[in-house]
Amino acid sequence: MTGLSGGRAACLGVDARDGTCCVVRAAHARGRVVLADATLEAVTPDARVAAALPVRDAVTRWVEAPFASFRKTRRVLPALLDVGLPFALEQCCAATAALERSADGNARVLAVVARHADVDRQLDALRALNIDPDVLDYEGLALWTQGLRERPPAPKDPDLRVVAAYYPSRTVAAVGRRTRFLGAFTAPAGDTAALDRLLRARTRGAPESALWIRTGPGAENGPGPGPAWAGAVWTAEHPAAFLARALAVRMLTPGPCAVNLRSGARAHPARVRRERRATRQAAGFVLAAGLILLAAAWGAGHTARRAEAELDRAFRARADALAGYPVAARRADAVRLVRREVAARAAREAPFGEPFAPSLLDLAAAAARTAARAGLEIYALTLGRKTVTAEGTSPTWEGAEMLRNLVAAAGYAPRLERDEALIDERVAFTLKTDAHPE
Amino acid sequence: MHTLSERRIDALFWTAAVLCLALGAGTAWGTFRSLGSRAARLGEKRAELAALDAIAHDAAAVEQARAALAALPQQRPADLDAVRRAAHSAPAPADTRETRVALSGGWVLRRRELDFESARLADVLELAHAAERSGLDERGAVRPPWRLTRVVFRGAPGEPGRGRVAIRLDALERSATP
Repeated sequence: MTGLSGGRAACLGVDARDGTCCVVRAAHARGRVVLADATLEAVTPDARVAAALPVRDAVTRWVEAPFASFRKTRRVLPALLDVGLPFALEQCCAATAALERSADGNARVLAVVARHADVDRQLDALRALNIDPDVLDYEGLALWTQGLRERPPAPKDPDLRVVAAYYPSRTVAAVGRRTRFLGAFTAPAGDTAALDRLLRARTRGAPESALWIRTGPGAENGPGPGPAWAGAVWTAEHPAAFLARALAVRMLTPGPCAVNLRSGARAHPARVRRERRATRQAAGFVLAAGLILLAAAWGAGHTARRAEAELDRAFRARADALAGYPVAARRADAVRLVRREVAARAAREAPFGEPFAPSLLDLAAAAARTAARAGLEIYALTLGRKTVTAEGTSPTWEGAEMLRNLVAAAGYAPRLERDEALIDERVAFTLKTDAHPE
Repeated sequence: MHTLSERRIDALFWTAAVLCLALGAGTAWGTFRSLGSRAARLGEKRAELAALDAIAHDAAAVEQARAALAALPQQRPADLDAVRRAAHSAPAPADTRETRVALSGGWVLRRRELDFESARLADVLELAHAAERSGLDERGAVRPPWRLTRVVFRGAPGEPGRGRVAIRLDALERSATP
């Protein structure tokens, strides 16, 4: 069971029967499918070719599985088909062509089944014409989907659609309702009674109004529907190349209705090679993705580990140098230990900074000058590196504040307190500082 | 068409590819998860290293001071008594004490305390000024200077600027090769 695989290369659709051969080339151009007439010379060994298995050589069945999964349904399709086929499943190849849900949610698939012998005979007939197709499509579905493509259902169209291909020896018809394929059959050319009978069998009911799409080499002159089926008639453009167009388009743009009955042991060697190459390429991408992920993960981990190791090394070296001996403690404990060591050493070696610290002389001299200028009478003055204290009297509170401002400018944090008033009306004050921040 | 061996090769190739992808995805996921905690740990370690750098910066000031002192032509401070004698207005101290504290690298802290019973604060500060200038000559610093590190003044009643004064002068001296 094999569907069509896509591809960007051009595809050739070949409709070979009754001694005539029609070839159409389909290719993508700017996002659109472009079709062109071609000849048998275009069918080279390298060309990607689709041909059709005639309607009479295959059967189609709508098969409903007792579950909802399409994937599972495809897997068990042979078992589901086995009951309803007129020949042994082992002698057949089968493909799924359409998917839908039944009313109760189960998976329904359209199965196309053909006997190996019929597939081989068709391939032999094509090879006799030097045509070795990659894809052996089913004629009935090809006609049906191309009919939908070229004449999409319109609101006023009858529900029943018949795509009829008129050939010199027979008429092929694909039947469906709106977009749903019902089946296909072949009738002798010009035999409207047979056509009527087979149509009744497919629709399982009384004749009704139908949209009749006429295609094939005899589309212009072929017999129309009987009066009972009369509805609307639409003739395709270039009707002789309709099937070839359908095959080329279906190969180029495979959808859910795509079918390739040339599968398994009968698959085209070039196609097998392409598929194998694609498979290995995909595996290669997966492998490369895995390797890239591994390399990225290893690289990121290695980089992070190296960065951490370098930090550790720098930390240990600095801690040892600062402490003056190898520090066994780690991280925050090491920082605390080093800080303690350095603080103790700094306390011991503080005198080394003394010659470079601001001299107390400047503050002492300034205090003496301020006292003289403001008329302060200092009883007690102590100047140290860490604290300053002063007691005295001033003619005004502003005089005491001048002294406080001077001490504050030297970097101390002075507090000025007013003492009890004296008999001579001078302002008594006390100045104290907090410990100097150094 | 596929032969059995080709199918086997394809299957092996796919198995290896899928295993590699699974291993890569697993490793990448593990690394991705561990990187978060590792990044936090790296941040903490950088902060700890920065803390050590800050400590080193503070410690460097002492080293710079020691190096500057060691670079002086003479590593003994001026004779303070000679300085006092040279300063004509300097009062004579009633009491003088000196202590020595051994420091690292052969350096010694000399601490001289001078008590003046009744002196003008300005005269005593003039003496301190001369002591602080004693480390300089016309070329600049030549020897460790004396530094005024403490002043205690008790004013005499009715005599502004005069009273009992005590000062402390510190200087560094290199006594011997460490």
